[in-house]
Amino acid sequence: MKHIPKQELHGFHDGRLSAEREREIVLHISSCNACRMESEDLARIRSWILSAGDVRPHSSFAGDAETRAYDTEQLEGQWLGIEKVAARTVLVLSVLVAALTAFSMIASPPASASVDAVLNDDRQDSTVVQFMVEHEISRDEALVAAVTKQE
Amino acid sequence: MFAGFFCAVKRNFPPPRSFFSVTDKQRAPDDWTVVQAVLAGKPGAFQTLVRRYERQVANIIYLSLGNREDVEDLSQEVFLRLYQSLPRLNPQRSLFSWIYRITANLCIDEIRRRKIKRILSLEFLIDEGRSLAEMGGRVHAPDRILEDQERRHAIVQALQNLPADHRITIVLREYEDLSYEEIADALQISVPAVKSRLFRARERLRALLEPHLRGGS
Repeated sequence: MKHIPKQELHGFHDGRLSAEREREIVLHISSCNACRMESEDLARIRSWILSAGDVRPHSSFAGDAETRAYDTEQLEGQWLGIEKVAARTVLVLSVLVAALTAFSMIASPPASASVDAVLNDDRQDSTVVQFMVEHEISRDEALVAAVTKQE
Repeated sequence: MFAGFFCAVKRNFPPPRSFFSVTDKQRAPDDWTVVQAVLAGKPGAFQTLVRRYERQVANIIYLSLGNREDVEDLSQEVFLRLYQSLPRLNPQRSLFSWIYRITANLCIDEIRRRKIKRILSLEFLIDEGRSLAEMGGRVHAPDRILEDQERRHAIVQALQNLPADHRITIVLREYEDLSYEEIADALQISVPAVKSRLFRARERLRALLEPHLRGGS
């Protein structure tokens, strides 16, 4: 007697076969010990798994789950609030720093423009001051000397 | 008042504490109606959803991990993840498939995490010997209840000897009675892959449970 292929027996067990094939298999296992035993094994394993899954969550489980979900959401919401405030603060500070940098660039040009700056008396040039002190001359004289030296 | 509230639910559950006021004649709202209520902030709505699936989730976790101690914490984690993902869910898809996916992923991660932990601690050398000895032992106790308990213990132990993905597949099929297509959807694998995993898992279980299967019952 030709046995039913194992894959097919599993398909039979899962109700995946056509009605006609199912009938053939039922007929076969009624007269074939090996296939019947295999089929019964599959059925037993299923029923044992079903009976082993006997965990019943306690009555307050659902309530606890809801509370935990809401609490976590609230906590995350708070964190999100803090993150938003932090992000805004960083943005404002960045804009402020950028503005101050730009202002200071306009207000005090870099050292390369020192001769013009000194001539326009826009800022104190330590070289000019030092020159004034060393040679005991006036600021105007020192400026002229500085320009001459530069040229 | 709430009798019959969950008539559309696959298994029997105790009635919910709050949420919709319904009469006996009204049917339980479908999952997506409840999800909408949760998203709208209705008190008790999420609880209703949890009650629908808490038992399935708890048992999938128990059968996959083999111990009862962590079932509650992990179930809570599943529902927390579900809650956080609700706004992103596609109403065209079934909610239970999504819940099973979260549960399966959590179980697989947990099984792998524990495996690494056990290997690192070398505990598996002791556990392996003990569980195989327990599984191979014939049932001599005359008491039927004791026999059932032993058998339940044996099947849970045998499940722990399957690879994580085979374990979760067979639990979804045998315990949850999901179709191949539903399992494929929940685990994000193909139907032939489901068939193959089920086949291997069952053959392995048959081999592991041979003494119990032939022990007459």
